[in-house]
Amino acid sequence: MKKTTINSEDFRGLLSGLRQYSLTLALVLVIAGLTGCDEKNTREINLRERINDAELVMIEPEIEGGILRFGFDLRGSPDEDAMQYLPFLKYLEEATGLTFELRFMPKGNLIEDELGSGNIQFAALGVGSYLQAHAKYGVIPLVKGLNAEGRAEYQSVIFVTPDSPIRNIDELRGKRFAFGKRNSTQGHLIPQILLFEHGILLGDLSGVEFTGSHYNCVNAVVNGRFDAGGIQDILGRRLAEEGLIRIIYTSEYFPSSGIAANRDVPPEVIEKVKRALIDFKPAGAHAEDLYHWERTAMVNGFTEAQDKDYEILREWSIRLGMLEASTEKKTQ
Amino acid sequence: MRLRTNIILLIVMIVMITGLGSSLMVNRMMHNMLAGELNNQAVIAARSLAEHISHNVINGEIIEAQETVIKMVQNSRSIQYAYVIDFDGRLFTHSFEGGFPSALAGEQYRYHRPVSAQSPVVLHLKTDLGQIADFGYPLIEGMKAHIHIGINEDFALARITALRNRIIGFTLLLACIGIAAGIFMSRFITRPLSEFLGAMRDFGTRKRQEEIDLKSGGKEIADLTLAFNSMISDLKRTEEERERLMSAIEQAAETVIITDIDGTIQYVNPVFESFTGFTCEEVIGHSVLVLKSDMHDDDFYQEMWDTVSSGGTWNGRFVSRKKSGLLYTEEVTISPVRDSSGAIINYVAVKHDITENIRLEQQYNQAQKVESIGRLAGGIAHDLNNLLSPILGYGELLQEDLDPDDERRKSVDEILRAGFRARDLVRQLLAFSRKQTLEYKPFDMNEAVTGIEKLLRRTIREDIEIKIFQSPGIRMVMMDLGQIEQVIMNLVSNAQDAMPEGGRLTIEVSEIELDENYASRYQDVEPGMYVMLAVSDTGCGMDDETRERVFDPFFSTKGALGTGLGLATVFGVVKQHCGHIWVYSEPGEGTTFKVFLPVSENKYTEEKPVEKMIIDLKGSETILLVEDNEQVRNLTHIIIKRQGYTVLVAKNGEEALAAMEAHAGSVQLLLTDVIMPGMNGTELYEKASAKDPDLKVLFMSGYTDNVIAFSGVLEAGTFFIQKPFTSLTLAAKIREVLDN
Ligand SMILES: Nc1ncnc2c1ncn2[C@@H]1O[C@H](COP(=O)(O)OP(=O)(O)OP(=O)(O)O)[C@@H](O)[C@H]1O
Ligand SMILES: [Mg+2]
Repeated sequence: MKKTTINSEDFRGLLSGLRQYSLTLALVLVIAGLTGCDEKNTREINLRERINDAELVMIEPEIEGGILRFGFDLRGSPDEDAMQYLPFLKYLEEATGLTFELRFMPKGNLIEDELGSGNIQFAALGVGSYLQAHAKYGVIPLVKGLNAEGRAEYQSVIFVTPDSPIRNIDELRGKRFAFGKRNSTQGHLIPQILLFEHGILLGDLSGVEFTGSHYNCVNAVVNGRFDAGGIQDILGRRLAEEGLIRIIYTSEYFPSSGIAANRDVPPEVIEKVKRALIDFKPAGAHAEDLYHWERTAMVNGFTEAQDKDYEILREWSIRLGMLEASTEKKTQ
Repeated sequence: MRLRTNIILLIVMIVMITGLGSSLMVNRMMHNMLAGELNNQAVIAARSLAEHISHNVINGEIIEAQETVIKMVQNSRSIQYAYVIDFDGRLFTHSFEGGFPSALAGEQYRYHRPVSAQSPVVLHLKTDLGQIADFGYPLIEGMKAHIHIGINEDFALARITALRNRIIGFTLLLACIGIAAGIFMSRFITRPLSEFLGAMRDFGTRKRQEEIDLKSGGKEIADLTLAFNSMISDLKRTEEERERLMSAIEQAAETVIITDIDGTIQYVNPVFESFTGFTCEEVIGHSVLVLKSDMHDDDFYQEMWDTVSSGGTWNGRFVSRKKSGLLYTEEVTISPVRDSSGAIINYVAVKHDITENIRLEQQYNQAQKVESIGRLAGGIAHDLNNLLSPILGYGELLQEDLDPDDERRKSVDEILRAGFRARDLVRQLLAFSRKQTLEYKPFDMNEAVTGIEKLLRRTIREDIEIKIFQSPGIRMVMMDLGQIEQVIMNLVSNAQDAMPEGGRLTIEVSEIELDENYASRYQDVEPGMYVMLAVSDTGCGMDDETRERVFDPFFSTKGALGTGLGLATVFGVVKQHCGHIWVYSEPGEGTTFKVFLPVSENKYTEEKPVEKMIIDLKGSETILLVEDNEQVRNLTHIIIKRQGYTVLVAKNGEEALAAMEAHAGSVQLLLTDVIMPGMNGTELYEKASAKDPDLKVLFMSGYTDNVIAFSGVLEAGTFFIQKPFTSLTLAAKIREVLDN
């Protein structure tokens, strides 16, 4: 009798103990539950089933309609360039209500071909490229870039290293000379015009190379591989200020390069975009959203461009054998 | 038991909580760390991959890009795969051998497109290759092309799981240890505690009185034991003290009552019970009012209550009621009892029955009163006696001288009769004032009653029946027979007066013992054997007021018919016999007087000396008469001279001695007053007998303080005559002394 009493007392003690600790227990369970619930939503997929590359090519991505591709030549690193151009495209989207997509030109693919073939709808073209594209595909010029002084013209500079004995262009005869891209206006056409004007033909030089870009050109000279080089004026002046190079000659002004459209782009779209480009104020209202726009050749925005603005350079191109005279007829 | 359960539960709980908590925390932390780590790893990989292949993608250099991608996957333990989507949203290249997984070729990679490098999109995939976190990262910020890197989490997860399992295992181990520790601790804590509890229970039920000795349990239990033991010894001390106080209260002669502040009785001591007749069950819980008598008015109780309730101590007397309804007077002290804060919590009444004291006091007062009146009466009686002596003496002489036929003889007879009446009255006065001189002899009370019986039957009215109960063979009483007869007469006459319509008178004699108990209640009683004389009647009885005053001299309810000296005389005689008188009476029921006289050692009556017939009262001897009162001296001189004696007369002791000296012949008898200025009678006799040893003496006395002072009894063989006396009595007495 007594024993059962003790047992039941014991049992009651345990129960009341549990009751006493039940809150704590519940807390523990809740914490455990919460931790358990923390699992991320996991999708279960099978990676073993494969398709070969041939089949893969068949899977076409969904093309998003109405997208206008805007092409640029890669100038620096893709990231850096994207940072410069994406805010600009954003501005255009906002101003026109159209959708733009940034495209860099693959190496070896010429921008005039891309624009002319309709792979891209708009492109920022150097004068040389424009002349080619115009001649070949009849691309439509929209605007010319305005430089720091607000002019739709630019120059090229001939430079040497600061410690070079070369003082003027005439001394370049028999020297090694570096250009930028072959179809670049400021990096090739204008420097060659300057050499030509000083009676120096390419054959008079001991070595010539198209380095592919203004930067490569500077690198080639500063590294000592070449004695002199020709690049666009804004970059040239900046580097000269930094003491990296010394400018020995600056060209006269030529009409600046600008933006052109594929000829299949509807005229109303062209008109809209042209308007927006002319309204673009990189130093003014829109400066805030841009990234180092001053490093472009369109520091102050744009002004309307006509094909006839490029007549002089077209003649020089033909004269220097860079453009076939016959192709010119096509565009007009 | 509960404590033990609690300890075990508590330990288990603590261990579980800390264990589970830490395992959960570690698990979570590790997961977070892993997620962060993987994220970092993926971001770093994606960024470097993007840097390396963005040109390739722009330029469509698939081979170069694939090389880079595969190299990266191979070089990393946790990167499971990587693939690149180009600017048109096409798969540009990937690291999978043997074809791209069709699951990823579907909508997965087309919609799974990161917005920016700041928030890479992470997909958690559970695959046959393991748990994979798929990070989507833009190839060039802001552009459509992007990279996917699949990080296999299994390796890291396996480590986390192992760690978590180890912690859980450790927790369970700790819980087991905790339970073991709980059981262990219960041995060391709860067992001594339960032993301790048992000891305390035993102590509570008084099974135990000694201190506890616990061997186990550590310091706290030891401290507890110590504290408990000191508590026990304190309690024991308190208990002993309490018991001491208790027995003091219980054995006290005083009645002790303890009440609460409302006057409800909480305690009474045994004396209370035996004295009042109430048991404690009958009064505890009741108001003290049960003891209240109607003898005091409300103001009296109010004053008493006001005193004690205001914190004062009340001292005084009041009359209370026993259970039987009997009233008794108490000397009471009521004091408040305060608690430690000073508030009154109880009242204690200590009471002492003083009913007896009051009675003794009254007795004493009575005695005092009788004494003082007696003294007055004695003084008067003494002078009266001296005045009566010549009246009676000369009257007798005149009577003797006159012829029986002489006309004047009648007048002389009347004078003498009035004189004798006056003498008897003075005797009574002296008797109650106890100032007469008594002649004590051992006597049987039965005989005293028998002796007076005839007289009684003659004098008591016919309508009263007299019954006498005697106890033959009882011990003697030293008594003055005449006085005792007087006592009987007075009591009987009162009984007769109380029964005007007749009734029964009973006289009873017996020997009884008055014990200590009885003696203690009366001031004048010594315990011992007594002879009782009881006189009872069936008369009108007395009320309390009358009964209290019956022994007062001159108290009478009988107006002019009563002197009020009857019972005063009885009282005086009884007192002079060292006896005791007791009265019981109820109005309308009758009265009993009981007289107790101490027994004498002599049991039997001595042979009664044959009364000598003194025929010839004349003599020729020489008598020296000494008396300071001139009238008495002259009268006495004439009486004894007529009998033929030669008389030498002196006023006082000195003169007497001188006269004896001057007298030629011898002197045979000295007849002297006891009280005289200068030398008293006794001294005179001593001196005179020194001169003449054959000298005989007869003392004369009205009364004498000195004789009383000598115990009121003349030495045996000493002769004595009470003044006033007749000439015949004196002549006979003188002859008796001279012929002895
Ligand atoms: N047996 C008795 N019954 C009733 N009353 C008594 C009795 N004995 C005495 N008394 C009362 O006591 C009073 C005093 O008595 P006491 O013998 O002293 O005087 P007395 O009888 O009045 O007068 P006296 O004795 O001189 O005739 C009486 O008056 C009477 O009232
Ligand atoms: Mg009387």
